Amino acid sequence: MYIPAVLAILAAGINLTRRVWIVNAAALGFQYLGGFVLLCTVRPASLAVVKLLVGWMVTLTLFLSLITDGKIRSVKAFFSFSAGEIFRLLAGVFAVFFLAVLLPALQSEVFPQSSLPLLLASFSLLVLGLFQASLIAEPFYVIIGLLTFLSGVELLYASLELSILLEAIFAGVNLGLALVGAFFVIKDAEISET
Amino acid sequence: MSTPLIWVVFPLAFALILIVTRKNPKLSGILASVFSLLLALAALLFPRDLSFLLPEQRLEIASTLELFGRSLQISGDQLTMVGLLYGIAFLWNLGSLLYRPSLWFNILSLGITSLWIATLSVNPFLYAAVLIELIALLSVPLLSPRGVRTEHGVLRYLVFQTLALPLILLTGWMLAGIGSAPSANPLIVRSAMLVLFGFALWIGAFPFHSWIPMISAKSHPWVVSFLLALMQSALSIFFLYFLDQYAWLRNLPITFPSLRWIGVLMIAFAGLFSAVQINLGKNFGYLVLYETGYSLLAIGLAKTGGLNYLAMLFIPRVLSYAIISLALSALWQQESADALAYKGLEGLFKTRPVVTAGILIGFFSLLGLPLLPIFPHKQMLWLLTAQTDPRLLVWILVGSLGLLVSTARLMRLFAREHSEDSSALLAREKSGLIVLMLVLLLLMIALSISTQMLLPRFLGILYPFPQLAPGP
Repeated sequence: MYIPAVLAILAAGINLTRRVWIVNAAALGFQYLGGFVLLCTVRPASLAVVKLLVGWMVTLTLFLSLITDGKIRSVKAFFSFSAGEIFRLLAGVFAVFFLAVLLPALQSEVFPQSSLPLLLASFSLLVLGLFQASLIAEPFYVIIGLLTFLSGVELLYASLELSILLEAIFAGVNLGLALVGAFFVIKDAEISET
Repeated sequence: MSTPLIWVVFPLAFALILIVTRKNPKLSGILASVFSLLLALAALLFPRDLSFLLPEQRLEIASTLELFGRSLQISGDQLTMVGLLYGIAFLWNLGSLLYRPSLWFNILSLGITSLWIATLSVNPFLYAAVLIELIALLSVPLLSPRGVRTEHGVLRYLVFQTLALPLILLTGWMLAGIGSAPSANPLIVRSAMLVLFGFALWIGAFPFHSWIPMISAKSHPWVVSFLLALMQSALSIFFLYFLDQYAWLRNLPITFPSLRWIGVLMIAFAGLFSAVQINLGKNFGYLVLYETGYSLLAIGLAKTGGLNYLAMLFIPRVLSYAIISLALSALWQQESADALAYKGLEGLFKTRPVVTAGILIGFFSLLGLPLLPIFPHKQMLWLLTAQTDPRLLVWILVGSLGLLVSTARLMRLFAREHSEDSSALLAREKSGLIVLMLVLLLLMIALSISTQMLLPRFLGILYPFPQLAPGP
């Protein structure tokens, strides 16, 4: 179960580090895929798939808003890093490393019913999302950061308790965040054009 | 028929119907105002046992609505609070007829109010954390409308509201079934820290307050005051649910002193920051923080009767916010955010006397000046503070002095002589603005001369919390 956890963490790491919108939208989609596989370990697949569908709808909403505004740029020099990107990459790597070291103790003391890969993925998403939302002021990336943070919360809470009402509200919150993100992208683009 | 259906589901449905009328601002504003007034009056006049005696039968309204295995519950005791929140929605929808801040204001204001009611009535109430996140999302189109670049304050607001979500949800899970555990249990101390931290993020307690002045400087004053008035009132009540329901939190020796200290520190810092502002919108944000400090102080003084003054402060405070933000909206209408900078407000007293009066009355009222409706309750809070811990009074004094200096600066600014002929610059105010301001002023005067008659009615807000404030 470490493969989907690593996939979700890598996707969140790419979103934290890179500033190429098409790559960020794709990474968000992969992040939800990793989360779905992990969710299947604690939920029936029929329930877990709802989160995947909501996640992909969120990704699609953001992607379409970027296309509408012509903001999707071709990927150039993907492997060349700016100083800011290196800083964010190192911050993310250190955070995940520390979590990996601390989580076994936290699991035995606070979350004995949750598996270690799930805890690693959920706490990493929480921390990487938090970094993303706080280290940059561009609305699109703040929204991706918040979506990543919420994915971590949902994953963690899913391993603790099942509530259909909560799942429904979480779906509403995710879609609402995506709409807010699309709203920000489109309205800021309108202003730039005028 | 059930109470959640009347005060949560119907308003949400009505808000959706209002989408059709959004291009007709007057109609939309009138419909939203009338509907919220009806809901407020119904909540205040509804029998507390939720039953009506008809000639041949007894009609009982259910207090619970089941949803996906969880429930929304609005008991008769909660109706005063429901009336207060819909009263706020009514006042602000009425004002939106004068200064339409957004095409979506009437729709979203009704939706947001009903979601706050849902927040206060959902069972288990920790799920309210997710509803508060939804409210934050619905507020975005109002705070950052089309045609205005997305400001950092709105983003920070979203981030802080989202960060609070896991803290409250996890607390609920951690504490399930240990309601009566000894307060020395480390799990309980940890949970208390999570709850307090989550609330600090939600309510914008110092040092997580930065988003409030940021949005109040850049967003329409009528929208900001509506959202903050609702949030401050609803979150204060929501916090009482925590304290009432969890004996461990109530019995922790650090809980009430911490609240008192956070409260007075917020009063002091907000007062000091208010004194050095150069933008009226931002200054309004600090006034809200100043009042949040008083709310926390009142909750911290719960054991000595502070909650009575928390409940009785709601209405005068909301009226003060309304009168200030009405005046700020009149300024905003002409030049947007730039109109609120101090440098453009010199000699305002001569050019816009009604607006100036509104701003100053609101400031004086929040300061707790005698003869204004907030004074008796703040005076009682000062007294209770002195009896509980006299050291706290120093911080209250610092905050009050800061706000006094801020008001004095404004008076000096407004009274400054204009270089041009002021009679030529005299602006003609909308008659609606003058009427609404007079009504607000009359209400404030009525509340100040009949403090012991009108406001104790609102002590009913505390009835759902028998552990904190035993009922009548």
